[in-house]
Amino acid sequence: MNDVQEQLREALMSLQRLKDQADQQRLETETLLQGLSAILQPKGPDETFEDMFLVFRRIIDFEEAFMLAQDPEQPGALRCVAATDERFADVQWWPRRLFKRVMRGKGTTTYSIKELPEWQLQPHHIRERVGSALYAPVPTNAGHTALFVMIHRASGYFTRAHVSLVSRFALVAGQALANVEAHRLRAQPGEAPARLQAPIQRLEAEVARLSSGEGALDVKALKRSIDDLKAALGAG
Amino acid sequence: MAEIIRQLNTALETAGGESVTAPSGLLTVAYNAAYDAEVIAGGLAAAFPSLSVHGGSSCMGAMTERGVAGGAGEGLAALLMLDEAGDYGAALVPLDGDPQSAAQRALAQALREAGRPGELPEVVWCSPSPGHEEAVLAGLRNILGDGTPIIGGSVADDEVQGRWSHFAGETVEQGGVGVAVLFPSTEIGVAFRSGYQPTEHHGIVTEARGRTIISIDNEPAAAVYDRWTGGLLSDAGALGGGAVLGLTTMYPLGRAVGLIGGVEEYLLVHPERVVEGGGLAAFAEIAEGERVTLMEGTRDRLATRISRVADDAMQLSRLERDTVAGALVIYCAGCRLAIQDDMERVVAAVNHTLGGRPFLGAFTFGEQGCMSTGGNRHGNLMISVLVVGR
Repeated sequence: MNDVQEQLREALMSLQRLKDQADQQRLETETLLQGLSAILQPKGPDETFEDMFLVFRRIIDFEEAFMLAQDPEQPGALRCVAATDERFADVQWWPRRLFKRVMRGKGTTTYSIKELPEWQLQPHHIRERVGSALYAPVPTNAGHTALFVMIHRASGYFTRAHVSLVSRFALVAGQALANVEAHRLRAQPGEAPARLQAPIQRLEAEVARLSSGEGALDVKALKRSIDDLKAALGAG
Repeated sequence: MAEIIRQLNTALETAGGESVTAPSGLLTVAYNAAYDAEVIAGGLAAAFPSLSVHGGSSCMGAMTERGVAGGAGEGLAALLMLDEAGDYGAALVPLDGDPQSAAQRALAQALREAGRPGELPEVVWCSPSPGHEEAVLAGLRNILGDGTPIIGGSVADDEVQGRWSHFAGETVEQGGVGVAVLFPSTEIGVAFRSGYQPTEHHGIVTEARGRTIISIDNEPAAAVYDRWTGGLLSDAGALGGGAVLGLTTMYPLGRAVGLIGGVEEYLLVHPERVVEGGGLAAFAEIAEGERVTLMEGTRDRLATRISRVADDAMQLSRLERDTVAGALVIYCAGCRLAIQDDMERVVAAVNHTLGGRPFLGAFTFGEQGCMSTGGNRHGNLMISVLVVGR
């Protein structure tokens, strides 16, 4: 084989590698955009997280996944805010060396959970059927870092390439968290009428009583109703 | 030894900062098998207790960006990767008749030393003793899968007399498996290729036992090989049996492990002996049913090909010449012996690609690496490169 043939072989191999890289990038970009588009549709928290997990399923064939965020009631702890399997729902986790490192910004994967204190602190039913796991940091609007975890029963299932891929899609998980938080804030004004209902009913009853000429104006009762209304508004 | 420690200390002082007092990183050593590995391991472990230190013997010295270090009976070189934000660990375990299990135990020990038990490293560096590399790789792949590049080379001596050795920390073995795990804080790239091209001669292995090809296309393998090479064995009077290692270096057998862009990617096998019955013993396994192709090398290609392999490693990790910190290079001892007078061209080729950045090259009796299409493999007459970014 002469040098020209050798150069041709090398050029073909390089071209194919470049084409494979370009194809992969295009596929990722399309999936990312479709994922963000789905996440950005107005919907409830459950549906938002369902869509988020669907996006990740399109890029990696994991068995289960869950997302951990700062536990508002326990400083230093994490709590599961979304999961594909009910057994992980609302479970509290305590970050040790591995989780802390991931939350500082670098994803990783473990081929076994046997020597990891984060997992060993969990009860058996959480650890069962978990071989390998992938961990990716998810920056949130609140300035904290959440943790996205994928699991598979096979040892060594996830690769470093999977970690890079999930890290590039962390935007989808971050947006899902932001949407759920926005949904919660939007829902709060909707709850206000319930809190306001009692003082408003008292005021309406007072107005009705006065309108029907059933008695004189009770200034103290009126003031108490107005104070109740103010308090209810303040709580919103 | 004292001179090596002095030079390493000078390098650390140049690096400055905390790294002078408690450096963190990986120290890789390649040395002539004539040297006492106990002295090297003990000296380095005492001088640099905070580093992960490992090494393996290399055929006729080693090479660096400054040239070939040593020759027959001499030569030692080391590469220090300082990385305060990375994690590294190294371990060495005796084979004890079970190379798969030994590799897995070495991996677990190295990960514990790195403070990353159960975690998948960015790359695994292995230095097995010759003879059981496929089993070592199988053991590692059973744990890690094929997503983590495993690269390295089988330890060697100058005259294939089994005098090789390796070490990790203060542990020294002559027949073991060394494993280093790398969690660098910067980008890395790997490539595993050869400097040979396929010829038009090929056939199917119709009988094989381990590392011996008994027959190709139902004919004794040595006779087929002799015909393909135009009488290479018979002209040397070697067709009837005996060592053929030096004869066959420019004409190894290739196994196609995958296709890229319609072009086959080859893993090489180096025939080393004609055995009774006309079989060909080699330094790597070939299975029955595999297609083998006669490959062809030239001195010029063997001297310059390494440049393209290093370039591949950089391209795949998107590293540029000015973002490369250094490299670890595995270059087959067979190629090194075949082109001894041209070894400075090999060094120049690496320097050309890496822009003169520091590198350590070991000359090995078997090479391990991650192929573009075939995953982690063991082969002969191959070149394996790990480039590390800044």
